[in-house]
Amino acid sequence: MNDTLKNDFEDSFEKSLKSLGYLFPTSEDEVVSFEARNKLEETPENFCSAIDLLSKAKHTLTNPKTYLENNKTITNLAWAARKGGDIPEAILKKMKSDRDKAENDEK
Amino acid sequence: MTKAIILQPLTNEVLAELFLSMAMKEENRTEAERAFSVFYNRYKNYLYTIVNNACRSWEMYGDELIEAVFENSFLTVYAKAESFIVIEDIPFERQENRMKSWLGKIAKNEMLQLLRQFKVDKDMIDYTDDLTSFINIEEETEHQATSDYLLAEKALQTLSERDRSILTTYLMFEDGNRNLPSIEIQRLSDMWNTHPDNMRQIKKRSLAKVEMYIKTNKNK
Repeated sequence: MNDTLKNDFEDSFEKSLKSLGYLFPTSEDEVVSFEARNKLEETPENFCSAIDLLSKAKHTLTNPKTYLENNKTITNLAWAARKGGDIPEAILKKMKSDRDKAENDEK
Repeated sequence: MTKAIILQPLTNEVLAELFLSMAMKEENRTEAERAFSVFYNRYKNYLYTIVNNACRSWEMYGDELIEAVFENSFLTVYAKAESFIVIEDIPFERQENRMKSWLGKIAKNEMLQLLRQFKVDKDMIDYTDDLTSFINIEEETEHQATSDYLLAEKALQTLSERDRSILTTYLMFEDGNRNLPSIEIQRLSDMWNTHPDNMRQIKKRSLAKVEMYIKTNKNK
């Protein structure tokens, strides 16, 4: 049996989450409920205009592993800084190697 | 005597005409771009809001994912404009919400496609750019009471941040016989420092917990 087939409860819970905005509202009913419960936000000013958008190609994303590795490096640095004093050369070297590895994985 | 000015509602033809103009981009690019600008300015805040909300479970991608889903969704509308002309067959009073529901489906599809582009398990996410699967005229109208939504939100809040994130990610991906791709399972396990094998159990337990909460509190 395929265990992704949803039961009635899961269906109705999912519908509620769409109306609340945790998932994309995909029916008219969910759109009405979503708008009743969420204030529309202004599109950020740094987003491009309609005409500029038409000259762009579709996006692709950076590999999420890079984000994780970079975040790990930043966490290491912050931790080292909190401990005070200079960061030992060996740790700096390891951090640099983590960062380089993450960047290479991305390519 | 002052004459009352009655503002005409947006007619079925207006949206359909915008799509027609966009569909004829090869014949008249200037008019197609003007039509797209009208459409973009009308729906940009709505689309941004639903994308921004739904991306809460994918915080690790930062604003990049939000912007990518937002822009890719609009680019799909422009590229496939002819698919949307059928909106003229939908009664005026439902047209606006129907368009928004289609935008939700397009945005979800775009998000799945973006996540599919990663090397690992790229075939596990079933993406299609065939819009005919959801651009249909008939639509189910199963209504839910407002109290159900409120209860669902309260039930969700009883979960830990980890369990909430895992459950919503599963629900976003799983549709019929589609599975949560292992790249996403790995991402979740990295993020929450949990073994990938435990993910399905966490989802199952979380769902059971919210179901119990809703059943217990439904008639209070």
